[in-house]
Amino acid sequence: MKLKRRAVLKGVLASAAGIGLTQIASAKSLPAYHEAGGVVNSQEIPMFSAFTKYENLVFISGIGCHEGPKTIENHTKVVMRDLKKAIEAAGSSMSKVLKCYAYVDDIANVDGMNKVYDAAWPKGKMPARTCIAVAKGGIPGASLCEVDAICYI
Amino acid sequence: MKTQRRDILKAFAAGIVGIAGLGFANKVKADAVHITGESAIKNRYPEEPVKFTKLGNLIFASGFICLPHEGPRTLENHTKVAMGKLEAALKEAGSSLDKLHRVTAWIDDPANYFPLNAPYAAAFPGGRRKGNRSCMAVSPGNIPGNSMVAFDAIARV
Repeated sequence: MKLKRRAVLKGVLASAAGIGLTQIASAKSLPAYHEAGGVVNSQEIPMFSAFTKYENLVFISGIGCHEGPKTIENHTKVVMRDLKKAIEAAGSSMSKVLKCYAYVDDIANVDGMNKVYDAAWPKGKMPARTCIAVAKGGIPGASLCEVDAICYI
Repeated sequence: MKTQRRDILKAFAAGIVGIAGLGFANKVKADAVHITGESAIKNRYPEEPVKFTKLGNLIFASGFICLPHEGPRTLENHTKVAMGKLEAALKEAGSSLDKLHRVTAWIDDPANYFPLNAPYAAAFPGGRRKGNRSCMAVSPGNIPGNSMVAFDAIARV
């Protein structure tokens, strides 16, 4: 009985030590799981990736609006719709977004953007945000706003 | 209630594992607790309603600004007020200006790029700037609240 208990204890300790050792080993040489997806080319030259991933962090490139009426409500609606698509395509969701950068090309449009922006997030899961107005026409593709995201899987 | 208990248990388990030195707690894991630091008063635009979010030990702070009623419109005052708000948010998230990975700074006048450095350094404990920074100038009035500066940060617990 005593021998059996000792053997079981030894077994448990050995496996715990084994787990501990492998953990230390892997912590020192962390495999860099870096994936880039959705490369966008311009004139046959790769410009940027739609998203990159590291471990379970996901970085989504900025998304603008290039369709529909040129109002801030419409542009924000399209941007948030396409951002949601990009976030979900990368394996994340709107309730797992940590940080957004929001750019408008006119400071007066921030209130209009906020109305649509706020509605896009699940209750209690709004990301942190920095919002800045750029010079008129400064958002590529003549978009009235652009939003990017850092989220996780 | 169930998810609350589960989250508490997860955090407890993560704590035990961390103490045991197996190193799980240091990774940003998929089941790490995701916290949103919302301000007590909702819809505080032009300030951001969410002050920070946190995943495991990684913190993303929102952009902080100085509002018109918060003192004279000087670079020194605006930097002091905005950095003070950033520091308060980091403290609430369990971090501090000593544990920064990155600050992004916006100014509303390119001429303020070098003058920003003195009040920016003064905002850090010990009066010395820490960590890396990216600084960008936008057109006058283009920072919400007509602030002269905005600062956000990525930090760790």
